[in-house]
Amino acid sequence: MEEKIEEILEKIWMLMEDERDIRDELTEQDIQELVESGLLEEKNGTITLTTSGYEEARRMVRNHRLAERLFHDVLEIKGESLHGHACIMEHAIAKEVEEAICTLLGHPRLCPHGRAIPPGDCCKLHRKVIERIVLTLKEMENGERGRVSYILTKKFPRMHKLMSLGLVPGAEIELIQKKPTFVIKLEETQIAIDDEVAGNIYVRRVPE
Amino acid sequence: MECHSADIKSISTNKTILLVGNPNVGKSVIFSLLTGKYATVSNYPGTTVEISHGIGEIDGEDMTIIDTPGTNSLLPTSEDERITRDLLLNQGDVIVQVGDAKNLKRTLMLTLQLVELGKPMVLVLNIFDEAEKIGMKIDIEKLSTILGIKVIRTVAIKKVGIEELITAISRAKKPEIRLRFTKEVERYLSEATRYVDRFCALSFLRGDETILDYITQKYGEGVAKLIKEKLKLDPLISQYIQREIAEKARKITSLVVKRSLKSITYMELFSRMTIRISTGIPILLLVLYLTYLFVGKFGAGVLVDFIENVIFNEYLNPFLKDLIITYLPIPLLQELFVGEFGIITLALTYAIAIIFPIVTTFFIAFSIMEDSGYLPRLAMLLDRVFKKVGLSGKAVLPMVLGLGCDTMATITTRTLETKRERIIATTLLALGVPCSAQLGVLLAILVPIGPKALFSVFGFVFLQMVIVGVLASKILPGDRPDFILELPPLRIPRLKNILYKVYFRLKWYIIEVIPLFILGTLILFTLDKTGLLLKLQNVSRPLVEGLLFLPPETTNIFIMGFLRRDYGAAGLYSMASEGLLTINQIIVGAVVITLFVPCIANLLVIIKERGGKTAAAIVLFVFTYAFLAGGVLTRLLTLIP
Repeated sequence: MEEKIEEILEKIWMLMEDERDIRDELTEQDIQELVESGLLEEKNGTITLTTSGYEEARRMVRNHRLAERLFHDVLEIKGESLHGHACIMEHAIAKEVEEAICTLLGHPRLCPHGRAIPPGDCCKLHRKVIERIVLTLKEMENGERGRVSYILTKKFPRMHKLMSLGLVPGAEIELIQKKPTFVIKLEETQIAIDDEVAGNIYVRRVPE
Repeated sequence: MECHSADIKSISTNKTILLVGNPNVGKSVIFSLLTGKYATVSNYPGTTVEISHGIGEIDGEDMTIIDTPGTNSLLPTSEDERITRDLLLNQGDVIVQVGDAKNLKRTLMLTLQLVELGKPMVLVLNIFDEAEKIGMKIDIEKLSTILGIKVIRTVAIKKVGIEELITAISRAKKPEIRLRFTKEVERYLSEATRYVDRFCALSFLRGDETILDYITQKYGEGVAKLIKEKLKLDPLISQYIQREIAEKARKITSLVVKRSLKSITYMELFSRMTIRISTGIPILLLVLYLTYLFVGKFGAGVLVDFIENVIFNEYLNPFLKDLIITYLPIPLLQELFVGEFGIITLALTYAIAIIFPIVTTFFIAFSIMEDSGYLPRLAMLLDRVFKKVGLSGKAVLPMVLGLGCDTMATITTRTLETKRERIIATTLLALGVPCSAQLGVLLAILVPIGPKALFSVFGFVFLQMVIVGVLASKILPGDRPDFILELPPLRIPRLKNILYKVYFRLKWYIIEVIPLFILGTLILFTLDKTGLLLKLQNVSRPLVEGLLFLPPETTNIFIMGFLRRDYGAAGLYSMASEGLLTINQIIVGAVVITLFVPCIANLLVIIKERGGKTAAAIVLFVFTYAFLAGGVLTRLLTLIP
């Protein structure tokens, strides 16, 4: 599907969310085009999405907001560029990638702007057990084991310090305690770290 | 913390051996065994802040051996790590890497960085017994083949494996293993190695800008500029490289290590108790209480009483007085030795009878805490509290050591990572941490008066430290410091090592203290005899009398306090015991003498470590603050009956 059409579908979704009339923002030409592609239909004088149009719009909005979460949470991109980056990425996300991102982020429900992310299949599966696969040390329980997936910090010295102690992606760790200071066990070394640094360390749970 | 920082190049041997390794793996023990020289050994990462060097005989040849501060990476994150990196770049014909056998992966991460230097190497896997105890088997032969260098296993404190190490050093080979990185990294590297060697290129790519100084020095400013422009620092590249190193280290480890599961040891169970809040805090309080009993009650009480009242006042001083008065018929000289400000009656009595027992007991207590591995646990328990004053838990070491000697403690602020932390720690040490001798004397004055006085003085001083710390952390630019600290295993301290350490610290202390005591006494004596003391008292009368409501003679103890903090406290002690001061005056005097400027030795070290400007700012601030706080306290006390 053309990117332009995908963009329009996304806009329609937003207008619907805000309970506004689709005609407010779209040109007659755009509406015509979508009707011809079977994504929009006119019923009793109001324009609504067809079933396939609804599915497409939902997918695009989901991709866009997941992308925003990814940029915001993982890559720490802030501000206006967030939306722009997400706009480019949303068109390129395949189904399995979408689920991987969603899982990585812990099946988030809201985008950084506070709008709802339409849930995907992977989310429905996890609704009951909202257990994230990747989480920060802060969210782990005492005695849990995990493998470091990534360390998220813009502070060079902090990154080097952690890495030089062997706390690198792939390292297996055990969380010994969280208070008063985090203590983790890495090989035969125990390392104490404060909560701010602990929040930078993302770990993938290793099942017992 | 002995000073071995003399010019290393001045020793004329043909070969230099560098001992390198992660912190707390036993480099200093191996250094002592190779050179026969003592280097401070402890169970605390980062104790070697000064570089020790000595001469050892290897295969019939004298070689210079240098012990370096422990480092986890060749990318320096603190001053001591940078010292090690620079030594590796500039010196060393043979590198002896010492590692903790049970932390093989981490050891190898450093090995893989060291091989890039292309120098002959030997790898020592120390503390081998602990690795075996937890069920680890390491295939040394295989490891040696993979790395292409000799790998020796040792238990240094039991002298196991040292002969083999000496032989291996004499036959050290250049390592064969080299790291291959991803295409992208290698492309950057080959670009950079057109101008500089691979080690420099790697360092820069990994985000180490300090290497540019070395590049400038070795290849010229043009090359340094070129490298800086051509190779943009990309944090991702740095992570790739680090990941590659870790991955390789992990692979090698899995090839050579076999583990059998062993159950958790009792020591480990106890260790867990020391770090948990529910059990850790009671243990902490117990440790403090035991330290107080040993240093405060036994050292400052029993020992001081005995040495001062029995040995000095009953036997030694009367005897020496007679001796001098009989054989030295000049009254001025008599007074110089045994008068009010006499070298024997004042300086030596204070130094040996009052200060010495207190310092000795403190150093014993401190060394036990250090060698057992308790100090890092103290640091982690107190990290949150220290964060409030802009420091991290790591500052526990200098702060506690400051209770022994502030001068020594100021030197160890080097282990703190940011300049901001070093300045705050130095200021707080100078302002409010009384050294053991001063503390002991203050206790001797205040305990008889009652718990109220004791509480007022230390509560008030503590409050000032909190106020200044919180303000400093708000005013000084910079981020909240990180706390990332390795907790070494708890070990039962070895008596011999404790005695050694106490002996060396005491020696350091005596060499510093006695001359200053005598100097201080001479200055007081001269001021007294020339009538300048009276003038000085008059000049400072508005300050001492007007602001603090203290008798003008108190000026003496402030002058003495500047020469040595404890000396001032001792002066206060005799004024108090002569009944010259009211209780409120004693409290104010004790507070001001504690907050007041650091002693001369500490001042010199502050200048050396922080630079003249910062030092001047710190001293000026502390001086003003001490008197203002004293003034406020005096007025507060008059309000309370």
